[in-house]
Amino acid sequence: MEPSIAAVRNSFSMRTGVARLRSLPPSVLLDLAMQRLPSAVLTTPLVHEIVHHACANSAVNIALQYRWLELLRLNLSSPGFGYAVYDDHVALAADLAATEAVFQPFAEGIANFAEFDCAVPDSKIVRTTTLGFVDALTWRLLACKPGVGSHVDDLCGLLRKEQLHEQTVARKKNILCNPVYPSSGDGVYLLGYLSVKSLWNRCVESDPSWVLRPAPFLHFVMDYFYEDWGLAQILMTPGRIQVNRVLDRLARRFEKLLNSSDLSGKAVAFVSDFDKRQRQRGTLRRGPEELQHGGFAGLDLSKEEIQQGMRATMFFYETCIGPCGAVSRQQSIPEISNLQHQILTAAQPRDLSEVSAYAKRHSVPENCAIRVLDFILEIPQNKRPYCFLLDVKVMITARSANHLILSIAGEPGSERVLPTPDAAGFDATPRAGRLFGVVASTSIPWRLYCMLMYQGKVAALWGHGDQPSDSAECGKILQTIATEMQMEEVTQLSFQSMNDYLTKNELAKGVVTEAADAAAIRVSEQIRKILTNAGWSGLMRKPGSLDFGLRNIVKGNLATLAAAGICASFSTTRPELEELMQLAGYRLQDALEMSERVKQESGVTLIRVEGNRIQVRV
Amino acid sequence: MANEGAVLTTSGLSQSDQADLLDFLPPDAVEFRPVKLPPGELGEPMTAIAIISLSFVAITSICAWLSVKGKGVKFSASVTAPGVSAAVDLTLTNESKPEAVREQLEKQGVQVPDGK
Repeated sequence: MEPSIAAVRNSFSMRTGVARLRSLPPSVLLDLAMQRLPSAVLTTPLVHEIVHHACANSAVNIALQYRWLELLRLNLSSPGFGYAVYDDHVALAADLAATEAVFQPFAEGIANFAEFDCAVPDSKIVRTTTLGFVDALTWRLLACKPGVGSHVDDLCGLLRKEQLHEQTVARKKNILCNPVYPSSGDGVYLLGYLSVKSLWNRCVESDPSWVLRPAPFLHFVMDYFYEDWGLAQILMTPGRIQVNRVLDRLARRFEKLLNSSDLSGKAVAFVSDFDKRQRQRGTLRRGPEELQHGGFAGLDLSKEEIQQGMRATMFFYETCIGPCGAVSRQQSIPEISNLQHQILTAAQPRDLSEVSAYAKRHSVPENCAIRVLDFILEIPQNKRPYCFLLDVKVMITARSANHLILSIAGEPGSERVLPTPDAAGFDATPRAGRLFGVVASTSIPWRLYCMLMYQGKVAALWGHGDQPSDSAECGKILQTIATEMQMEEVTQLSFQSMNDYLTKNELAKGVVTEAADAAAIRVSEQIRKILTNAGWSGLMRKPGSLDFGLRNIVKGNLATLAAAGICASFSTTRPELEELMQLAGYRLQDALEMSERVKQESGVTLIRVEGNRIQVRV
Repeated sequence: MANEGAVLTTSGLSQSDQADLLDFLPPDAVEFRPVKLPPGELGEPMTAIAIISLSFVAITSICAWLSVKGKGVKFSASVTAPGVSAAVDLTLTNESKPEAVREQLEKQGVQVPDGK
């Protein structure tokens, strides 16, 4: 692909579980579904988005998603839905956006650490090392490249080549240029990355016996922040979200962890406990796992916190989201008939098979009405365990009885052949369909299910490598996709449109944005304070009018430093690091000199040298 | 930055591109407007569109910036100017020459002041 300066942002919605890979043209998304990813496409930006999903599928994000579903329920049940917004709903939306902004630095820090620091193991260590879910993800994505095979050394070699590529170095340099004093959540990447990297640095620097690799370490960090049932309890306290309490707990736990004399011990204890449970019997879904077998080691959570968090989450579901939950208190206006409102809120007869099945699934008491909106609110909950990575509009034609051709309308050369057991029902006439790709992000082995949908039905189904391995899981995903498509058709609503409903109103958007920006500023302030005491005080000083992160203190080409950090994820011994830097087009000596200058001028240690070992701290 | 004259608007620039661009352009000649993601979405690092007062000096600076970015680099922008009804699309590369860019714009009715 041609290098272009225009930055197109991939994104992931923590609310809906949908990734948008805007940096890849639709035809490349087709390639990904066919497991023939072009070699020019970098793997780790995809890992970045899927790691967001891993964070989303957690105790804290279930609580955050419940808050979003509460808001959707209130919106959908309000008589003015479709043409009016209400102040109490806007206030909830503002709270939610502010809370999400509080988590954003950590979410991005975790995803960036996965992108730049988690090298997959080679054959020298693969049999003796503990794996993390990021290893599994990266391996699978790398294996989607043509001709790479599945030997760990080939996969590691390919990752090294990609990570040393100028585009990866530029991506990392970009993180390092993010502001130290961001004015919105869009600028918190450096602070977030330094937060996670500082935890890693502390382990490396304080524990001479430290052997954990970055991928399992990242699993610990992710769970420390996102499987915090104490935080879930705060989020699930009915009424307005207590954003300051959320921020306070998150910041205090981060500070406590970073300053812990036993940080590395906690990480090792967590990884060992998780690994042991997996090997012995496989872990249950989070929640039931802790309930039945106790909390995970190393996460600093008491049994009471876990139980109270779970209870609060269930109570919140029952009172604010489920069929017996509160609906909008707004009164309908007699002169205005809102057909959409009537459809969404009308009680459905229990003798309908779908309704009785719903009542059974959720144990809904007889005195609770089950409405259309309840079916809508069930969809994101069913989607949550999976990352919806691909949703591509395709044209479908048949080439033979067992070959379909998929293409992108208006994109010549985008035709891709899909072998399928049954191409009946298609001919040479192009028909519009949708291709979905769904990932179970935290499971090992990692799975990618692809579904070609046509007129609400499955036209083809395939998984990574071979047929989908878990038919029950695949059936669930299919059911969810079909239900969502049906909902879109019947109600003319999509989760995107429902999510954007309030903020389409300019006044409401202003309130929500202001709350989110203020929260981003507050969390940044807390992180700066904590990092100041962790050796970053020289960087945390308020810069002049221009704030470009590490550029505030680094004179010279920041790409050299970015490259050094990436290379050090493969090796920290001097001769190997020198060689890797050379392969990337840089000199280790330049990075060391740059680091020395920064140390003298600002007191910040960017690179630590101990004999033959070199630790790049950014 | 005063916007009364012609302005050049870039597509989204990464944070490091913004920083690099300012090595070539004076800060008061450019305004960065962040492109925000909708609530609930986590995205790749902040991008911003740059709005630059159009002048020959600015074009020269942009060309100089592109020339150090390496081979095959492409950069899209659009130019709006008083008296010119539609925005003029511009694609610059690391090989673009300021004089040629000026000529291209002037052919489409955009006057390019020398600037300072």
